[in-house]
Amino acid sequence: MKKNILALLVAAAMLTGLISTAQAAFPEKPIKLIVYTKPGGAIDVFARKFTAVAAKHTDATFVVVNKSGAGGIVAIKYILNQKADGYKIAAVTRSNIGKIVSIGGKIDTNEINWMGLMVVDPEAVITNRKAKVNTWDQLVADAKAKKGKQIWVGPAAGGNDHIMAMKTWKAAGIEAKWIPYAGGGKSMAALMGGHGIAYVGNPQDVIGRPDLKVAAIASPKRLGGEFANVPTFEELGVKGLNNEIMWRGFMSKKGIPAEAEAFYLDLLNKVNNDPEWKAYIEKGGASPVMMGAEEFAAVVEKDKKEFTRALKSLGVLK
Amino acid sequence: MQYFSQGTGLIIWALLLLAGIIGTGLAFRFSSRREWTGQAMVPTVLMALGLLFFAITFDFPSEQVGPALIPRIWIVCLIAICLGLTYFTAIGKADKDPKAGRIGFVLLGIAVMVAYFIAMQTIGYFISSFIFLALIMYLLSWRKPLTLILVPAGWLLFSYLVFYKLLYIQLPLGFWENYL
Amino acid sequence: MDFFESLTLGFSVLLGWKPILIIIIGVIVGILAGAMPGLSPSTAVALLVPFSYTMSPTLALILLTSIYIASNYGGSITAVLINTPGTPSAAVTALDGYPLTKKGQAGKGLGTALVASTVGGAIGVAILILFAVPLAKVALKFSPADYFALALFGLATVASMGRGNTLKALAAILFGLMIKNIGIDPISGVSRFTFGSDQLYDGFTLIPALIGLFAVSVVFVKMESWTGAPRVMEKVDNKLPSLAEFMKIKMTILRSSVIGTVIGIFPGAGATIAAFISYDMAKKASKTPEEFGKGSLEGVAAAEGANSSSVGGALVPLLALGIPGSATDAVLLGAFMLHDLVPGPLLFQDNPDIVYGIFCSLILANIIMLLIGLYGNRFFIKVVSVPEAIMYPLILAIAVIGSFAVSGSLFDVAACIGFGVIGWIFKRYGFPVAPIVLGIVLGKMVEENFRRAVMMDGFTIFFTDKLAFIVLLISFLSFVWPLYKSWKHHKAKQG
Repeated sequence: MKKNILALLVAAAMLTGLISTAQAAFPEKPIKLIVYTKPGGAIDVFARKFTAVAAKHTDATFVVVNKSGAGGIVAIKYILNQKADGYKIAAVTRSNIGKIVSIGGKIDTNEINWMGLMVVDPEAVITNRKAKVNTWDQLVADAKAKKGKQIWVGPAAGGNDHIMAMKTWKAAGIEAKWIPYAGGGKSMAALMGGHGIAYVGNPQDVIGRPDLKVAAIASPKRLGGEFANVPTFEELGVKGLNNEIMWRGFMSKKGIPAEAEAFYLDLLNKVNNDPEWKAYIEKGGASPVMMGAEEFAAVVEKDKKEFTRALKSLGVLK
Repeated sequence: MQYFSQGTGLIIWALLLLAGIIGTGLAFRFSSRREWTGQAMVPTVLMALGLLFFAITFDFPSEQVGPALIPRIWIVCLIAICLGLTYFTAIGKADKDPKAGRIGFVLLGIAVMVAYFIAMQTIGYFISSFIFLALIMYLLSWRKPLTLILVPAGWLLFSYLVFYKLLYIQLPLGFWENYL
Repeated sequence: MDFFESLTLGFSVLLGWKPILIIIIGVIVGILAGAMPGLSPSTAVALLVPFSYTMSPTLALILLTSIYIASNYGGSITAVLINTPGTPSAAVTALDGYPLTKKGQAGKGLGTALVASTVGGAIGVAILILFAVPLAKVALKFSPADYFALALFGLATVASMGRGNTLKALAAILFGLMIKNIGIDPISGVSRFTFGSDQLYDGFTLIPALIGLFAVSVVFVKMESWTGAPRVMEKVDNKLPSLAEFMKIKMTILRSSVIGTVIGIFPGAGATIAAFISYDMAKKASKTPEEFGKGSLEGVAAAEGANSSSVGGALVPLLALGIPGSATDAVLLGAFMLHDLVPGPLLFQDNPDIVYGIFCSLILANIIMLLIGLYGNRFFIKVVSVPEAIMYPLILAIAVIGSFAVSGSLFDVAACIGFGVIGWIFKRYGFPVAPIVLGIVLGKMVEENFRRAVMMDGFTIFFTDKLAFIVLLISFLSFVWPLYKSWKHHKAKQG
């Protein structure tokens, strides 16, 4: 019996060995993983975690390179100006799409190979636990009483979170004011200080910040872990907000060699199934997924339309 | 105003301002206040820059406390201050221009820096830095051949080890990038 | 947990050679990075985050916070010796530090900067340990109107930077404020004055502008008066300030340390604003205000005490609430997250060893910084005796690589050269360049908070918000007072 198992293991090892030699053409040198923030930014942390997990599944070396500036435009342009050899990939998020749209057609998203969408993070309305208004129902009542003067805080107008807020107001039939702060951290500080009633973000924003709580979440069903008590919009009777997400994924230039494409597809799938990766993503209230190029490109198209519509209505785009 | 905020209008506006700058310069140069020309030019250029920016603000979405408000406040203050400065210069209450030193030498220095900036992108950071350092040292009349080589070489070693290797800063490599 | 218990816990984390070694490395790296123009505290910490990834969380954070505190001091070294502020806040140190070097008293300048940094750093950390949680709560209560008032208070300090010509200082600060408007408007998302170039979306970053205005311009100024003759070696005195001199400035150091800590607590204010405000206050409180700008020890102490103490202050919102208070804090937040830690109240409960370990390592880092500084000053000072024909080319090379290092962008290098030319022209015609930096530092804070305040409550808020009203009144007076005094002085001279 033991022998059999051993033989099986050897066979399996040989098989994986064969597969890996079949793909050995790529990569032959270190891969640059471009990150659009400086070291220590949220997406930088994500990328570094990815390389740490990926190291378990491949011998390839990843080098994280920070190319910050213009909300990701610098990083994406860098990728598009390089050879499509597959040695340069970048971590992207949904907010990059908003930036691409806001600079008006200078980047053709069709030149981008949307390699894999790996994380979906539901959008959430976050409130101050210590404020009088902190549940969704209280928030709606307060908004109606204040007649459009209720204050929501968050990053710059026309961004992900602002657009989500506008959608939420429409769906819930309320009106409120969006007061932009420079980034999520300062917005949350404003919420904690009682200068606003709500903040739009993702569940992970409240982790480690006991003063904040998630009042409602835009996902089809409740999340697990510490968010088990958070109601979905659907449960609260708000329609049309059951799949609002912030995503994270990887891109490269279009036209990379087939073996590189196969390598990344295989690797992204392996990382997606890795328990350490799963635990890391789920801890923040997000879910690991793996959408390939076609599915991902469709998501991008949908987001582009949404951003274009919203930015036009705000006067940012003409 | 809207017409001058973008496109051809903005270009016309910029040309008008440029003509204003040159006009003011010439007016001072050939008047009894020629020793104050420089003193008058700095606020004139700042004012022109302010007026250029002011025109552009009409292209922004108009809201009560929108994106145009604060820039306009700064520009109005800047123009007021600059008018004050020009007035004091015109009545001769300002300090005279400093005696012109080796302006050509400074312009040469600026030109070398610009050349260095361009060279960095074609022949790469390391080679261009070596040439740049040696050249500037030579221009500053340093003639000892050993140090002319050792200082740039030392800098190369330092920038390679600390910036390129240790801090992983992707210094521009120019065309070398294709061979590495 | 009371104060002593937490200190005991904190120091127990530091037992052993490894943490001590890490602190020493951190302090040395911090001093060197701070002294290097371009490697500001936030850049220095950011560039070392990847290194700390493989260390244990406690050691990693000890390393990064040691770098943070030491780099604020390191900036003063190059500011004093070669008028090239290594960090933005050291621009204020240069105002008086460099004149000291020109007088041949570099030792005094360096010594004052070191002691003020150490005392300031220690006071900042002490306040952090004792009052982090309550202070953070107070800081949160400040509304956009209050922040606007605070920022305006910072702007008002320009009145004391005129050196006889206030109009020129005002023109310079307004120039800084105006160019800070270039880029994407953080409130509406509209891009302003970018002329369609995406290089300009983030506007001009502070560091390249600072290096250009201060360092590159100096080289051009020197080139204009270049005679080619080797400089006669100035006598460099590396004597430290005497005890009596320290006693004279002890109140300045204490005051600036408190100012620095308090301003550091406000998310978004930071070391540079703290240094400007503290310098202004020191000048107003001084018995010899005419010395400021000409090599006043008080001026150096005010700037350095404030920028080093602001580190402790800036860590208050980060550790107590998980809200980054400065650019460096934002990087540290990322470093915490890399190690699966989230700073904030829960960290005090779940990982007190890390929190108090950081606190105590900061105390230790200050002491080590003092020792290294006292020893190192002897070597740093030698920089002054490097022949100018070697020094200036190197300054230009440092300026270029420093601006590039900020975000790996060649545009920043071009901006640095451009600001170098602007700085040269400004200096040529007697326009001060420090107000440009002040304008760039405060531009966003003034605008954003003004608009936020009005969007929330309308224009009347500046009168109904008591605190904002009082601060606005004080800023107005602090702006007008020096002008009035110089006008009276002028009158008296004429009459």
